[in-house]
Amino acid sequence: MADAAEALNSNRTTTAPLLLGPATIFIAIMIVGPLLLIATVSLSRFDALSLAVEAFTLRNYFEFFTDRYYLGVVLTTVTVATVSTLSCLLIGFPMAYRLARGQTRYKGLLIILLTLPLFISGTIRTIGWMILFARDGLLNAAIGVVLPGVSTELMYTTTAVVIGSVSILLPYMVLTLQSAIEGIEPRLEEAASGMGAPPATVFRRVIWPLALPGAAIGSILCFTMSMNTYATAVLLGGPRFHMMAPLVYYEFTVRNNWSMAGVAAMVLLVANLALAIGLTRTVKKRYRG
Amino acid sequence: MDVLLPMNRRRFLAGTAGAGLAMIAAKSGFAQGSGDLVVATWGGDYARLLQENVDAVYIAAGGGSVIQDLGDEESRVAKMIAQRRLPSGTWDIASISSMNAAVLKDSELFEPIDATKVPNFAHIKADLADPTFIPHNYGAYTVLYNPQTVATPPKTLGDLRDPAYGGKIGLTDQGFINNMLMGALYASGNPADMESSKAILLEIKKNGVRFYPNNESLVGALKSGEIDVAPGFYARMLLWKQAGVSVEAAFLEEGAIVQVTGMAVPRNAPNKEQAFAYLNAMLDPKAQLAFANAMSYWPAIDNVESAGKLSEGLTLPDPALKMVTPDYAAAAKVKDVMGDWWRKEYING
Repeated sequence: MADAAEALNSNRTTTAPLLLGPATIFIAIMIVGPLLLIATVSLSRFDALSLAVEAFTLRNYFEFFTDRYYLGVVLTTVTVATVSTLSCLLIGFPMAYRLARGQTRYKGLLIILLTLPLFISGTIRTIGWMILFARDGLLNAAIGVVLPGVSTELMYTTTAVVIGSVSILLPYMVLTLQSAIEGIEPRLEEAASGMGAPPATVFRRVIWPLALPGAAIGSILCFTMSMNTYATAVLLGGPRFHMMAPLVYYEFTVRNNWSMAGVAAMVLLVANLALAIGLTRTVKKRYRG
Repeated sequence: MDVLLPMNRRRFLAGTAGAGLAMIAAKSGFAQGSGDLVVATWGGDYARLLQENVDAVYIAAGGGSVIQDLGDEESRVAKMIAQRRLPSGTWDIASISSMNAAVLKDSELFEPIDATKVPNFAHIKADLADPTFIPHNYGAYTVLYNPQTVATPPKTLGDLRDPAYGGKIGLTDQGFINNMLMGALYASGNPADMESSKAILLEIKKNGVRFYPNNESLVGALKSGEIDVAPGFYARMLLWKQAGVSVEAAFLEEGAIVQVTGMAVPRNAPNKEQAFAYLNAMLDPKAQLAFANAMSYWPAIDNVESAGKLSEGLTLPDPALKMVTPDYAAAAKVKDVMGDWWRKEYING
């Protein structure tokens, strides 16, 4: 009997690696490999007709962090990502709460309506915003009906990029928050209300602390996606608006400066990782406290 | 389960690994070697007209099938440089413009053209002929304006400093090099001296410029009245006018910038013989005439009228549009630096 149990355990310890092995190797090669390649390229020397000459130089990083233009692009990217994420949180939390706590029989339909935009490519949806925001687009036409002679200029502005980003990211935030809120025992809220706490206090002392891990995950997801946005930034932001992902494309394809493109890609990667790790640790600490 | 298919974990994993390797090997077998001619070019109307006019002549002359790889020029240039060390590239022909042809001229990326295999090479206009870059057509970059709102068109680029145009000037980011060549032509008479263009461009910007990513967004702005004037291609003006947009071209005293679009054969092209035959088809008078009349760019050959009459729009009035061909070789040397200035200081300054 003991031999049979030992044999079974031995089988399990060899089975798991065998089954996970191919997928792990595939991910290591297809994800980690290119990242290492980009890191290597970021340390190479730029040559317009060779794209990147093998070398080990920190010159590209020095140029990136001492050039006001590149720092401006980083600042714009972080600002847009932060504003978009906070907007998703502010707009998404009430929606998620309603979905989580709602007793309507249309709950399934509401979730489908929420996820329906995800079936359409973000680029297509961004083009829709372009039609809406154009000078003679639908938005100005509608404003013109109510206030004749008045028009807005949203196209090629930071506001347009944020609106476009929020429209793409909101479903992710709502769905993440909804499952977090569903995990909160409703009786805790009832108990707090029963003890005389007004709704704002119930939210602040009961709902928000318990939903914080879900909010953190939703925020990391939205922030990362917003930091890496390309089509929304290019189509709605215009030529004067620069974010990191279009900068990587520009350096890589237009300037043929693969070294600088590698630097921009690494900076983007490290920024995303730093945020994800930092936010996760902050939430964990708060929970332990 | 063992009755139908003797299978265990090891066989399953080995099988899937083997299947994966087989798929990779088979896919690589589909690469070049089929004899199809691959032409890397711009999409949209350009690709369609190539297919309708040039491919037809090529196939009628005994050529095989033609596959188009569509994309923008900058990524095409990057790919060509990236695959230059490969024994066999992925394209037989690459479409590029005169600026990039000058940038890549000394890089030994392109195959010198064997004129004996491209008989129509002899009819290329003298000032467009080049041993590695075969011109397809050329256009003029000048100032376009809305005749309904602009009573007196600008006579020079400097007229865009006039407060009458304040806030109604459009510039495309995509055309930044042409904008700077035009500025240099105005400022110093030498388009390649792009450093001299900075002052006039900054003055025009002070008068109120709206930036657009490309020609498509520019025409939308012209149509909606957001802008009244914008540097642009004469050919685009003709096409937009045909589409009902109120637009005309101003003939500037200093002249318009000539830009040539053409094709080159990469040195590692897999099917060079077919590539030369395709270039010959591209220079065929019938193909040149059809392309010119459809896209409104001027043909690159001197015997196009043997195939028919050029459209009225391409017949320039008297006095004719003064056209200046920049020294693209000199301009290519400063292209990157000027691009940095445009992006970092001009647009974002």
